[in-house]
Amino acid sequence: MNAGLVWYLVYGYLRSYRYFPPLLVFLIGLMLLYANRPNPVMESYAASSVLVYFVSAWIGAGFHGAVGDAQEHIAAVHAGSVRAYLAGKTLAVFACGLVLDLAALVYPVAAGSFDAPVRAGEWLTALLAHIELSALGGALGLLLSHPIVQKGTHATAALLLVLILSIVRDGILAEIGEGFAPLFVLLPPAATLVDGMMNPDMATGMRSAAVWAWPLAYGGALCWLYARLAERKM
Amino acid sequence: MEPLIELRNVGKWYTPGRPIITGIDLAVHRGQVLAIRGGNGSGKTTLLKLIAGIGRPSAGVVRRAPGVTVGYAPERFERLRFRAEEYLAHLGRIRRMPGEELGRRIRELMDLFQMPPAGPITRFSKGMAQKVNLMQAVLVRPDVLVLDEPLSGLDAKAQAELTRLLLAFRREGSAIIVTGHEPGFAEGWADRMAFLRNGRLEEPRNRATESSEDADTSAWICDQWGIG
Repeated sequence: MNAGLVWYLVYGYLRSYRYFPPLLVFLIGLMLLYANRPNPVMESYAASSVLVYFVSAWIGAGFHGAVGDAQEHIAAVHAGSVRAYLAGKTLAVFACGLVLDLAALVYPVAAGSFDAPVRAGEWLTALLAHIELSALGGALGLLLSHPIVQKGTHATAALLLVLILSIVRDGILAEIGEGFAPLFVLLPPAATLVDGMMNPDMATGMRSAAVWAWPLAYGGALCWLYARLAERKM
Repeated sequence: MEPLIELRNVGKWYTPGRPIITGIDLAVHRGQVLAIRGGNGSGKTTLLKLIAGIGRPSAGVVRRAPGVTVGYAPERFERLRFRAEEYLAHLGRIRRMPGEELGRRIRELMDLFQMPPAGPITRFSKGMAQKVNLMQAVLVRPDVLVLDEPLSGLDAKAQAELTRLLLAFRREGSAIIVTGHEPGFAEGWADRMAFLRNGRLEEPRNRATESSEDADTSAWICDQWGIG
């Protein structure tokens, strides 16, 4: 891992002030979520993980514009290869998501917003879900933005559609019937993660492993696809 | 002598059947200055990016001698909200340069380029920004310096100053591959002049051996190819 590259990209993103709108939405969302007290632990964490998912996607989508094409080329030459650069960029987006994850996990505890102390198992489950959802969101943001998608409006529309559908998938299927499930099979498994967080007892054994491992595999596939497409565009 | 960079039958396209460059054969040796002239859209930037290792050719092979260091300065240099020293320090850390060496090199370059301590690059003039662009390209002494239209849009004084710097790097042994489209570009200081049009590279003659009888060759080619 090229830590210098990751830090340069994060720093460049912060200096561009592109972080401000997503950060503001994240903070306002978090405060609204915990405006009333007390709150149930896992349901609240499930909601904050969805917030992190959307905001991470926003950050991922805004990362390219923070520096521009020529600066990306320069950084790639200094990093040694386009692949090394793209790996660094992906990690930089994940690092921003990780900061959001920690804020979303610590804030309600520090503010005393829960109706009960957070148990270690709950904390670990919530941490894992937040990390996986922020990584999924970040990878989606990278993939569904310029330069992979040429038109900015198309990219934004596609990203929002995928994010929303991946969260409300189960609600839509309940309305239109499970027979349509194959239509949604390629969507990111965000809803599964949120379900797994809210109902940890229902996901046991192999099913539990699938709930947590499938998003990792899916996120890995997104990153691979992003690297392939972005390398061609550079 | 083994070339530092060699291209064999290189082509690049994003849409099959519509090559941006095609059939490029090129070898660059240590200490050479190769100037490539071509109009807008002729494929200069695409060619330089491949030489710099950005992207892969759709056809052919780009070969680098083992351990060759490449410095690359693109034509459009987006101005970031970094101070010049800060920007260079970041790029040096990406290169994994040791801290002490990096600090020394940045001070050396600031002196060489006569850069005063200043605010963020966003406030720099085009000439100043272009200096930073060149500084990042030579942050680690490059064996091959790849420069995309480095003199474009600069006034005569800034052009003369940058040319002086390029020649200093050449004296240190760097090979330089530089593009431009202005008439008379690189004449007098390039060893080789090539022309790029419709994605094809034509290198009519090595300038070092150009005879007086053929002094008009470059002008004739420019005329034939409709450039300059």
